[in-house]
Amino acid sequence: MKDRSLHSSAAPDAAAVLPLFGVFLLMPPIITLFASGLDIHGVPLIVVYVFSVWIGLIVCAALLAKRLDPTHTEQAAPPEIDSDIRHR
Amino acid sequence: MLTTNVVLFISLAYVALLFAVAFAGDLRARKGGLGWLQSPVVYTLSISLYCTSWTFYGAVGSAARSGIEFITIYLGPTLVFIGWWLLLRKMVRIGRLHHITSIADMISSRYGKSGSLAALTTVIAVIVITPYIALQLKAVTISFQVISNRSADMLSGFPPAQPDFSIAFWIAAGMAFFTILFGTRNIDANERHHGVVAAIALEAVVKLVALLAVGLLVVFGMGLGADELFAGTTPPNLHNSDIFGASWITQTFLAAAAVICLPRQFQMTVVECSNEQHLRTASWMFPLYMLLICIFVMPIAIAGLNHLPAGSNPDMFVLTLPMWADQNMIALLAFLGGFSSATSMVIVSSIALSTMLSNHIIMPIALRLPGVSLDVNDDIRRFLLNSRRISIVLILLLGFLNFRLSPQSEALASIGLISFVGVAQFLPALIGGLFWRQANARGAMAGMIAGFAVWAYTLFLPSFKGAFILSESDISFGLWQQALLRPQALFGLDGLDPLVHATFWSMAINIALFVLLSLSRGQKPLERLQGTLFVDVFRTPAADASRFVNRSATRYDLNVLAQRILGPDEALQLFQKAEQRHGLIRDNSLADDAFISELERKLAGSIGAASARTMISQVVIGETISLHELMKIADATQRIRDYSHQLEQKSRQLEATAGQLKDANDQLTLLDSQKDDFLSQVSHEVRTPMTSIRSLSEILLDEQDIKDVQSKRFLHIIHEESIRMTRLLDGILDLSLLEGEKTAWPLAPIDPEITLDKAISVCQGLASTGSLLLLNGARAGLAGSNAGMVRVNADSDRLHQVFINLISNAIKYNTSDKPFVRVTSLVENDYYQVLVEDNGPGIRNDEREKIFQKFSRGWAHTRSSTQGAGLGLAISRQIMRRLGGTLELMPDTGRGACFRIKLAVYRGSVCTTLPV
Repeated sequence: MKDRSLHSSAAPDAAAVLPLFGVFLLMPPIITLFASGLDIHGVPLIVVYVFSVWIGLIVCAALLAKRLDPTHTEQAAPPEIDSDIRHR
Repeated sequence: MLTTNVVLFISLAYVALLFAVAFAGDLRARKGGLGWLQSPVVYTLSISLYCTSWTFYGAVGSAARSGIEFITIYLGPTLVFIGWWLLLRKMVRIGRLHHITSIADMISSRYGKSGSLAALTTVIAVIVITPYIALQLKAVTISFQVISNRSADMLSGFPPAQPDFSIAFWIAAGMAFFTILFGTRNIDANERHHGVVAAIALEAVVKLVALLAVGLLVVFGMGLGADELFAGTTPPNLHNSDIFGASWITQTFLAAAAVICLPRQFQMTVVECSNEQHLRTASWMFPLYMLLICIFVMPIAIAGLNHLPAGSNPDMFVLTLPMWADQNMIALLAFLGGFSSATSMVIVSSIALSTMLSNHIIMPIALRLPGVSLDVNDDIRRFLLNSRRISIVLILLLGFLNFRLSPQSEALASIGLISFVGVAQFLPALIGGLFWRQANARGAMAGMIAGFAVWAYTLFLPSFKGAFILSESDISFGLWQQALLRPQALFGLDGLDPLVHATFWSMAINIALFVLLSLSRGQKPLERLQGTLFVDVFRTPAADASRFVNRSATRYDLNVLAQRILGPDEALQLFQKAEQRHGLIRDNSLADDAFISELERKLAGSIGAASARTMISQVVIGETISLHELMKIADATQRIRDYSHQLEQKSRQLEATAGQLKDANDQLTLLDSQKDDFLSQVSHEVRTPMTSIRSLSEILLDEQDIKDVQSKRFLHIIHEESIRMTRLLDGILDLSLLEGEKTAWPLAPIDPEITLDKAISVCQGLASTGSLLLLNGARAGLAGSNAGMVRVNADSDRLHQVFINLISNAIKYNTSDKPFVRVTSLVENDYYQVLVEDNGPGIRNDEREKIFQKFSRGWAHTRSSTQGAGLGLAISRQIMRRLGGTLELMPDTGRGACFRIKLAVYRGSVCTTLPV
């Protein structure tokens, strides 16, 4: 029980950190480390690295999105804007 | 090969399909059941509008030319979307709360609903998007020519002659027509286009499927494995770390800015967002979409480099590769994908831009012109729709002109990046406005104008290579031949890629002016209010805004206004709802401010915040923004601090009170137990003599043969015990009277020596029975100047009582062989003192205080025939206290005990009573 509540309160912080982490991984100088001439099964390392990081970020975002609810953490969002009567 | 007619037919059929989907979507929305139209997947797919024909064709081109650099265009938006919690969430919330209709609307609304800022943003947006639209036209034109080409060099990807501008013109015209049909059939109060969203979602799927099809063809259909793929000619820079420098960072930044600031992206992400929850899905699904799009870009580029003739146009590899592989169906699908991506971009961009143009430029101007008649009911709406249609045509015309005038050798990607830098000029004003309360309109305006000017000078105009405004020599050598003004080496910053150079200077100057002017100038009240509302959107509900602006207007005027803009049906609905909620009374009464604000918001949905405000202010009677209230919200922190300080004080007070209560309670408990002790002692004391009396009386009554002597003895004992009890009860009463301090004593200046002598003579009898010597020591009255002259203010009877008590105690408890008691008196330091000494057993240390307590008999080891009640010393001490003196036991001298009485010598006038 405790773990779950820890997670849900850590989610907004994780959500704030994730893009920064992405920037860190995808910008020089870190990314230049992978621009060496290595190949993985014929595919250049840099290609593998960029796509792996990309997939990783997507997965993390998906996991976080489950735990984040924009309307519950602070004051509730305004009610749904229904479609008003259309005029011609 | 595919004929022109076939391609044309397919294209038109596809457009018809899109239109059908849009129509169905609108129909469904009108019926009220939005259902799948509002699913998060549709939302995400509509955001995928970001991938236009630049992505479809240009990404491969960019990959073939410069390796993995193309991926920055997709990494930027990925970072923005996975960081939705920080930025996009706020934008969406504000958009919905304030009924924002476009990016110009948001910027103008934030900076005090400034009309001029809205107009500026609109003009910049139109100019900046022009190249982007041109690039779409170019892509469609060239792809059309390529796929319907029959000549030998069809695989070159280059059109046989110059791009056929007549084809481009008709394509532009077709797009304009389609856009007008799509987006200007009605005006939604929230500026939502549900049908368009549905159509865009469909075309996003088509786009993805087409690109994946070509990719799969390349990787599997051509029998190429991964190692073979990368073994041949590869794009440059794949193993080069040099590209990860300024260019990489700049392009990522630009792409991130674009996904926020592009009018079409803003429309899809913020304005069309019906539910904030959708953002959660979009945060990962949109990056996933882009990942899928990009996955085959590299393979396609490499395959093109390896299999197609050298010098082919890499921008067209997506189309020419299937053609080379004789896969006509896939080639057609690819063409459709490219066509689809271009049309969707043009449609949505044109709708967004035309909305901005009509709301922020045309409408405000029309309101000011006397010639325009806007009095009849439907006028305004018709006017709005027409102005939008004209705007769409204008925008597409500009796009076509841009295409016509710019050189044809440019890669698609570099054209697109020019737009990106231009649109990034909105970023400081937008982001600054969302997070910095102090940001004001002047800063935003100055920043945007300067940024735009720098962009135009360093990037946009040079892209025409001398065909437009700037001549070729201007571009090479600087305006007016000034070296410092060279468009691609401004102020001497040489050696940078033109894109990086332009981004750097435009953003630096933009941000600098924005910050400087925001800091140096104050804010107008409305700016401040909007600033706080925007920055604190997660804390302040929008309804509160009405508290700070107090306006009133007649219901009739408001009704007319609402009918003119929203239409009679909706106006009626609005007023009915308001009547239910606010309880408005019939015509001509004044509407309250909450209703006026709500109406303003509804109008803003149709004509933009600035225009809505203008129109409302024309009918409003009185308007005040209470600066006092504004200060209060700005001082929210101070309030909270004050409040917590008050709470602290209160709790301290409460603690003190609790402490006092506890002390009082403790005291009461102590008194209670003391009372219990006293009662038990008294009852014990009384029971003892009572027992003797009772039993002896019983014997006397019962026994018949009792001798006279014995009965006389018994009666004697009974008598004595009764006396003893009487004495005890008298003592208790005395003590209680003394302690109660209720009665006043008559005081008079008396000679205490006389009282002392009397007491001594009384006790002589007692002394002689025990053969005790009662001595007179030095006496104050006899010696010296005080002879017969000592006076104290006291009650002689009480003093007498005390003397007798002390002397008789000394006699009673003296058990030594040669007992004596000496009484001494003296005057010292204005105090009359009497000392009573004996040579008895003395008083043990632990009993020195106890003897003065009630019922103590101190010397437990002494037994004497006359037993007192144990109250004597207690009474004596009380009496001395009442007289203002003291009774003490002198320190132990090792032999007997000595008691001392002290009383102040009387010198003044007579005082007859002691104060009670």
